[in-house]
Amino acid sequence: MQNKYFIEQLLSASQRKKQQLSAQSKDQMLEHILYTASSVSQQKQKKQTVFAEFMAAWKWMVVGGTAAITALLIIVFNWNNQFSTTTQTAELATSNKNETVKISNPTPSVTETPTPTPTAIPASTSAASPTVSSPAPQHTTPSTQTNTASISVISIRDLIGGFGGGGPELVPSEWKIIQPPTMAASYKTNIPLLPIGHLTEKQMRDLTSALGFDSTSTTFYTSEDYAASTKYITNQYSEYNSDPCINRYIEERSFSFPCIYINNLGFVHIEKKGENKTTDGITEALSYISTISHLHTNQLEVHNVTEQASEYETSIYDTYYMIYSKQGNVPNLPFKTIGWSVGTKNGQLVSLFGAAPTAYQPSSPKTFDLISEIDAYNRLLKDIERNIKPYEWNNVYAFSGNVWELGYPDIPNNQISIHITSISLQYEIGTQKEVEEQNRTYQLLPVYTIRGIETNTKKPFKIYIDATTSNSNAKIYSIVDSSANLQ
Amino acid sequence: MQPHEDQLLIESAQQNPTAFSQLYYKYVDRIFQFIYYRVGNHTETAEELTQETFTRSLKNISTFTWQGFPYSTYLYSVARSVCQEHYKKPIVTDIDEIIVKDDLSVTADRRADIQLLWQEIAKLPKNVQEIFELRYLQDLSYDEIALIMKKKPGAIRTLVSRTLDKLQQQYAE
Repeated sequence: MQNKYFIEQLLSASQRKKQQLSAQSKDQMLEHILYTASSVSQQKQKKQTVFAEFMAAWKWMVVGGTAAITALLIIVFNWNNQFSTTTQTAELATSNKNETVKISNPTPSVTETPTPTPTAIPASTSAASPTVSSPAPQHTTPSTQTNTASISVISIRDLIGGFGGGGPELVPSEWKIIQPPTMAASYKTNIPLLPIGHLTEKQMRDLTSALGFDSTSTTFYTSEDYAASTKYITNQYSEYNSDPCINRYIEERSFSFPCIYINNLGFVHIEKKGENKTTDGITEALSYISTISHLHTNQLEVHNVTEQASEYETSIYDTYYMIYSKQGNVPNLPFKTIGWSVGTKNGQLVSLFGAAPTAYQPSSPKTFDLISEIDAYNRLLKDIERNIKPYEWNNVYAFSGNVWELGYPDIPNNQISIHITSISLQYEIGTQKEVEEQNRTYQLLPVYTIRGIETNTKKPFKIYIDATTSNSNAKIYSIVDSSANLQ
Repeated sequence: MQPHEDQLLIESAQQNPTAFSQLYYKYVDRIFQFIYYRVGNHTETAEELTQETFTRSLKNISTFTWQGFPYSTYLYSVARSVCQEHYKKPIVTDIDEIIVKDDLSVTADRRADIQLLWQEIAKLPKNVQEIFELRYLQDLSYDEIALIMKKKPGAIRTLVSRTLDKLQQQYAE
């Protein structure tokens, strides 16, 4: 043997004996997988889920929080006074029998007393409500809503794990959590639950024409299951109600053909050859996005992406942009779209991909009652506390995958230090199946956005906490967005 | 940036779960193989757990967010959890039935060396065995292994490097 690299070469030459599944077994397994997943989905709909799935295809970093362990905890929050406006430091101390959250400032203090014999519960189950002592009154959810939420399970533990390694070696008692400078104790009420505006068939036809495609030779395809109208280019038939451009790409490994996909939720995917138009590609893209999003072009901002593209990508376009809305696209609401990706070649638009759903306020909007900012912060603390239970690790881990990009920077002694800088109300896209209708409608859901930074690693983060009260109570929805582009 | 093939497949499945079949057929053999050697080479159990792995993954596809890694990385992590739950104990990687890839340049001596190397690896702690399995039998990157095992990539690299040193010393003797 020469050296370890030689050994590595030998190991690389190894393989296992192939164990093959028969084609019949594969097909049968797939049939069962699709059937099982479909059954679960239907059961959720029967339960009149308020919001069942977030739209991951739109790059929402979505993490649902489980209320599992909370079923086993009796939690008493004692808030003696309102938070001061100065930064306060919270230390989270835990032990096997008693768990205490102490705030260094005498007020407020939070004490949690878990049940003596905690047991892991499947993540999707509901939890019993904790006893919450709060200066603000309790609210109930309007009867027009059903609140059996079923976001998949992820916890802030994964966020913490992203900072410090996530293994059992974490020492939560060493963590430091610095509160946001201000938090409102008052509840917000009567916040409308706004549906996402659907594009009409005419709008889709007009847009198709504006994009240079012949709308007269196109076929509309509507799926009731997805409540979306999909436009296909001439004779492009797909058995799936999915993006035909993507399907083509999968089949042909190429976007070298003109293709357009529009659904009535505002999702557009265009791939085409550059045309010698008088307008430049960005102006053209802004015009299209404005058409779909109902935003004026001066409400959009363009970012040139300088990241080096691959040879294949540069064969398609030579310049790449992201376009964002500067502010929310709903009056008086902090909803903000995730943005559009735009590719141009020789100044001409060749690629446009993204969604800009536009919320509208119906004449008789349904309303939510919301928890306060303080309560949102409490939910965050409780989520941290809940998810440090080692026995829950598998449950949480099985559903994870959304916060990996944080990486695993080494923090000395695992002394996590989370500095929360702000809490603000925001709207995210969710789904709701309304009681009186059979169509699934995308809704804007209120969440508190908690922003902060892990001070050891200097990594910023956003965590979304469900802002709604719930008639099942004690549901914690931590939606962790660890995207680098925190706005 | 043009999207990665898996990203497109995931987005397609998110729009219509039936499209998940494309991800399924792409990775089912690898995941089955991965599980097969964790369940005592028992085909029926491996099929059952493979099915559970994909079912669980499909149930959560709507909230999956592309992180730049092949979807198989996620599937491996789910498969690992499924196996762990099945046996109610830490994963045991069964390192046997190792053969040499079809390569005419590998001499008979080298083939014997390879078998001996894996026999030595089989004596190492289970987590090290698993890392070597993922690295050299599943051909995963250090970053992917780190994600699957919830460890830091640097730690994985260091562990592999030190183990290779150790193996090299054993062979030198």
